[in-house]
Amino acid sequence: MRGTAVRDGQHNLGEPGAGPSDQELVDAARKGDRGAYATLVNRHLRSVYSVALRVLGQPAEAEDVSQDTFLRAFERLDLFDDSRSFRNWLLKIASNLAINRIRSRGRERRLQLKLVECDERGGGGEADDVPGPSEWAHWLAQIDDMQRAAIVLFHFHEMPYTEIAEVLQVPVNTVRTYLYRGRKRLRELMTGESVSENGAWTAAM
Amino acid sequence: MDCGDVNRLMEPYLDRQLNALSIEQIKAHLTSCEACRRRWGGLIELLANPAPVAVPEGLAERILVAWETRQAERADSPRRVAASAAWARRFRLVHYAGAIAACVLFFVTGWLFSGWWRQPAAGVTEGTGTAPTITVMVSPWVLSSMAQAAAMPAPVNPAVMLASGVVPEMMVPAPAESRPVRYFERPSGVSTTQPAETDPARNLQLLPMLPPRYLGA
Repeated sequence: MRGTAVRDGQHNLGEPGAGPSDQELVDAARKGDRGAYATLVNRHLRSVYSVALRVLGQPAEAEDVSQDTFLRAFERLDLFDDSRSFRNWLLKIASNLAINRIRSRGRERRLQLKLVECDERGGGGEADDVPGPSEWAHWLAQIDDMQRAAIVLFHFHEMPYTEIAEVLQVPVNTVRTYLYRGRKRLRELMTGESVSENGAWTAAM
Repeated sequence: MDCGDVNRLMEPYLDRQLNALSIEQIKAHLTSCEACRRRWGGLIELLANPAPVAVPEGLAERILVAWETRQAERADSPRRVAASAAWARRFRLVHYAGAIAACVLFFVTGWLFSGWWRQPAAGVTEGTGTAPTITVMVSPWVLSSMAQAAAMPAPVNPAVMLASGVVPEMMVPAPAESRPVRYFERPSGVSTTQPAETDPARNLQLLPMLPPRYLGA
């Protein structure tokens, strides 16, 4: 699982031939099958950890959130709606926990430093073939927490607007605003230019 | 599609709200237009291809261990609850026994200090047999209390005094000249048909149960 360049949003969704589906594993876990729990963790940990790290920016907090996510999900397995995606359910729990952490700690500048640090540390490791891991973390760390959360959930984990709105506890239109402003800020950071409200470039190209 | 169209459609494109044709046209324009590629290429690449995240070593195992631990705690908790319930039942019995003992002690103490030995109750006659000997161990404090109680005058029953013709001093109206000043005198212009100050019998009507012969009539 580690070191693969598989996009986080395209993990095993229970297709035939790739082992038991999520639904089968959930059913087995409800009956107390320990192996089912382990398989579910191994299958979805990467997505859950990615959401937590990208939203929070701190590996230690992301690990805590990942653990809390699985514990909470397993404890409430009976409440899981079988007609929905187990992975999306997990990501929703992880996002909620991460957003709660952001709200509790407030806006702290040290987040940026931590995020850059961790990425520089991990940048020389397994992901050498993927360009610019520290770069995206650097850009993402500089935008507003809620805007970053919306961008991470929408673009990196393909969560729909409505679910992002539920996670962030804001109206759907606010999610659109977060996305727009976050992307605008990213463009400004990446190009060093200021962008007007209508998206036009104000500086000479 | 020109650069203006791309700028205008880029937000809907990033929001995945464009149809396939428009998406292809934008991609084609970005491939051919260096300015638009510089303007939008970095953001598109960042959002479309996020850097993979390496999961920390051993995190999955830690999560599973935490889950096993929580399950073990949950399995253990019913036994603990049962044990604590048994303790609660035992403690409840102890509480009841303590409350009963405290009540008994209270009444026995009150009975011992009620002065029942000072005078026999009415209607009790002296027996001819030998009274049983009761040994009571008392402390000096109890002895002094008993001595004080014995030195006190006997209680006065006002009904007995009135029945024997002794009217308590407080019931006799004081002479008018020695009365204290009243601050609620009636206005001088108001006449009263029967001034209370001059009629001692009116004050004595406070005791309607007394026969008239005791009221000086």
